[in-house]
Amino acid sequence: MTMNYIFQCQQLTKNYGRIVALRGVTLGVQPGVVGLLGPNGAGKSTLFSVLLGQTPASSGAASVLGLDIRRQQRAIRRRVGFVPENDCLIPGMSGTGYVYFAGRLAGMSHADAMQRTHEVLDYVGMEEARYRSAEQYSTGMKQRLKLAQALVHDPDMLFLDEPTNGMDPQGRQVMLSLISDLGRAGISVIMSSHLLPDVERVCERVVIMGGGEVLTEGRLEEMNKPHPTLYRVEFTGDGASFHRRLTDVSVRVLEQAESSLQIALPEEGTQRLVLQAARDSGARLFGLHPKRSSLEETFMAAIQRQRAP
Amino acid sequence: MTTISGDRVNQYQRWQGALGKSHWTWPAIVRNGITLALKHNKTRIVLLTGGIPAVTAVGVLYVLSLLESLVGTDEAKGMYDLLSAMLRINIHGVTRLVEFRDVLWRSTFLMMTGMQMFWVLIIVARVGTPLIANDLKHRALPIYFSKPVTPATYLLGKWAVAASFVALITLVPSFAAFAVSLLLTDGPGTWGQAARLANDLILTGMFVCVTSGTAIIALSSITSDQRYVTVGWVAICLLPMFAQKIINESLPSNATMGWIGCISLRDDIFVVAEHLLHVRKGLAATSLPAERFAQALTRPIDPAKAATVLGVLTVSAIFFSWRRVVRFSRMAAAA
Repeated sequence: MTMNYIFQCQQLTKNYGRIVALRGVTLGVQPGVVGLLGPNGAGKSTLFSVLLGQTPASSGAASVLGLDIRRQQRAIRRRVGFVPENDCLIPGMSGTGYVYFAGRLAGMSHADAMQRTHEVLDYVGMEEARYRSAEQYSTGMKQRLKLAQALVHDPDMLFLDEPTNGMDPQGRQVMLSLISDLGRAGISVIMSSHLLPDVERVCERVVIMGGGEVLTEGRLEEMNKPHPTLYRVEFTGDGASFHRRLTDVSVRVLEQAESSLQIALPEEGTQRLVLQAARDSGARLFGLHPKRSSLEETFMAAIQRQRAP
Repeated sequence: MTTISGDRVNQYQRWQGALGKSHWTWPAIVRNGITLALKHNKTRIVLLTGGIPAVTAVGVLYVLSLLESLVGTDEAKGMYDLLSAMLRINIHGVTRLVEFRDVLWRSTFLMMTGMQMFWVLIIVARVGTPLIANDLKHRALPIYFSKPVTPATYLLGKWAVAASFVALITLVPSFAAFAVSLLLTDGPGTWGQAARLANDLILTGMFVCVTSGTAIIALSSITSDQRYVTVGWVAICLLPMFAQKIINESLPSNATMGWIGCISLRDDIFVVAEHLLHVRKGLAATSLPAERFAQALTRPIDPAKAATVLGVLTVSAIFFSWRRVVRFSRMAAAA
């Protein structure tokens, strides 16, 4: 296992009876903020559980921060923080008490846990509310409290399960800002989410899972890289004539609006054909933008490829 | 740089400290459990009233000490009546009470243990039932099992919460009663006898803590609804007790009770306590006729049988709760 990866899996399989939750997952994830995407039942939560050393893998091997998930489970949990999707609050506890308790469970001394509790609660923006019973908190505050308990022992890596689920736009904004900041502070974050715009906003890398397998993974900017042959053209002039000229030079027009066209070039690097058609038709070009595939398109394409027989 | 609260700009600060050994996280669970339980007034009231048996025991031993000096006087008659009624041992006419002191002290503490059983039932129903059930209900398990907490650590911590409250009802008042009685009276006899009694009291208290603590942990791990756990606990304590009473009534008083005499867990604990406090043996060794102290003792049940029943129950409870907690720990991330 290589230390360059925050976690690495090799042919990792997890079966629950006849149900295969993870199907030979082979994956290496580099440090940074990573989005884990997939429909329900894709195996995201099982992957978290296996990587945290809670559920033993049926076969295969994996390491987290260079530590083996089979033999060094407790060492992993000392260096990892986990924000579960559900509330997981203990009734009767204040925000301070809850985070302090998490610190003590992580192995911190009383003084360290108390000091650090206030540090992380300050960080997540919990002011006087920290002394109130956590049951009275709003969804956003509960999410921030869960983040605080995961951060109290200063982990090197965070697993966040749907951290922005059910939050209002302002709360989401705050949570995403915190995640970005944690990434900048050198904490690797693995964030599972159904909200693709959130992932697009904060993640550097994306892993898409489906049916217990890794369907695709890579840097977000690579996934969103410009398409080599699909372009959007902005112009003024005679649209019909421009359309004809483009067709004459083997450029397909996919969609036509009053002053813009979606086109497909015959092959990569043939943008000059568009310039030639514009000159011949007397149209004036204002823009020639390569089409970028969105994360949603990449996600849907990956899922469809997996479902295809 | 992240702006959170409008007028404040916070930035994540790394922590330079070192984490302690993860085996020692269970005291944090105990501390948290006790703190949460003590927030409820009813729990505090049960704890405060849990001292009543100990106060009663101190009173009995004080009266016993007074009676020693008042033997033969008019005032002594009332004291004989009171002590005979309290200890259910007919000591009328016994003049050399000092010879009976050790066994009467032991009988007093056995009486106190019997009374404490009621408070154990109540405190365990209040404090023990939500221990695991509430974590299940509120899906709080990820907070434990995403930290370096093992199922064993978790179980030990939860058991220790229940056992601590049982100790506050049994061990602590017993020892306090013993100490106060030593100060107020001449003690059970020699210092050696006092030391042995103290040792027996600790053993008895620990026995009650272990058995009731493990039983409630197992029950609490069955369901996420605390009400069912409470009903289960009360049923386990009371129904066999009533069944045992019916069996006892239907059998002749001199009939030998085998395993059938070990149905009631409360009676089993009492039999073992009686054995640990050496009350039966002590009373049999006195010059008192057996019919004078028959009411103070349980039916003659082999303490080994009672201990076996409780031991099997305790081991089964540990095994069962262990299996449950391991299962919960594996589901924690996906809870």
